[in-house]
Amino acid sequence: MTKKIKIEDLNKAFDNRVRLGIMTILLAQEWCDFTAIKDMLDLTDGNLASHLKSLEELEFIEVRKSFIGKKPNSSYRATANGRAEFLSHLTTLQNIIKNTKI
Amino acid sequence: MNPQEQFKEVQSIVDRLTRFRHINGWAAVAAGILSLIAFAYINYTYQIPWLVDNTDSGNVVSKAELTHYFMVVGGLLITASIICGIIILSSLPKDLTQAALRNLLKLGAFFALYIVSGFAILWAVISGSETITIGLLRSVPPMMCILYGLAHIQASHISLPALKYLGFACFFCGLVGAILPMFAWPLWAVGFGIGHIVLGFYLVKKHPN
Repeated sequence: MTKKIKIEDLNKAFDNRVRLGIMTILLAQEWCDFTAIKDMLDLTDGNLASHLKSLEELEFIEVRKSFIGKKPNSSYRATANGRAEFLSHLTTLQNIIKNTKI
Repeated sequence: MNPQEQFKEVQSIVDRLTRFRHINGWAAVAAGILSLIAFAYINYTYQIPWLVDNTDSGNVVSKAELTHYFMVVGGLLITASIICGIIILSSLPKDLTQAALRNLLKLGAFFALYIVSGFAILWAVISGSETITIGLLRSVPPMMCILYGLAHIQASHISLPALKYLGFACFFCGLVGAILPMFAWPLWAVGFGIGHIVLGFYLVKKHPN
């Protein structure tokens, strides 16, 4: 018997447009810097920083800090755990949508 | 966010990440201006009566004239393609995704194929007898416009969706040109020349960065 998929099975960490966007970008690109993510998602510095921080605390993404000239630069990438969790979230989403289609 | 909204959001971001969207509008404007210059130069030099409806028997162009004609048009179009390429490549962002890069290469392949088939059509026309009728000459632009239109419609799936407008404009000009041969070359100038300029300004306005 197949297990019934419920909305509760979705990972709450990705239940937000910004975090969904960040994870999608980091799944497509190895390392991506702060400004590039900000431009792609059209966000303010503060808004993006808070969502990056929460994903970092969950160990879904990792940060690499460096300097370009004298300017600090932060790049991000999805951890193996983050990738696995996000892919499983997408699979669950797909299954829910498939099951709700008439 | 409900599952459908989340899925749509992911799809829209993936779409943004994979399409090659960094087409500089000025490249299209430059291509349009150069093709109009080519059209104007040829008309000024040879005074070819495109708009005169006739039986073609008295209107012939010598092979030498035609070779010069196409050398100029071809040369200007290749220059336009090179300028477009340089403008687009010099404004590429550093964070281009692998998928977008692959689509850029596909775009290059589409247009290379278009240029090769365009020259093949021209060669088929020129390599005939020593003189070529205006009627035969009028069959070239519709074919080029239709091919170019199809290339743009195809390209719009992996690049900016706005490319399809130029695609449909060229395709339409090609079809009308095929039905009304008298207007074939002027329609080529409209579809190819003015079409590029309009698309270019639209892109500059819509995607200033």
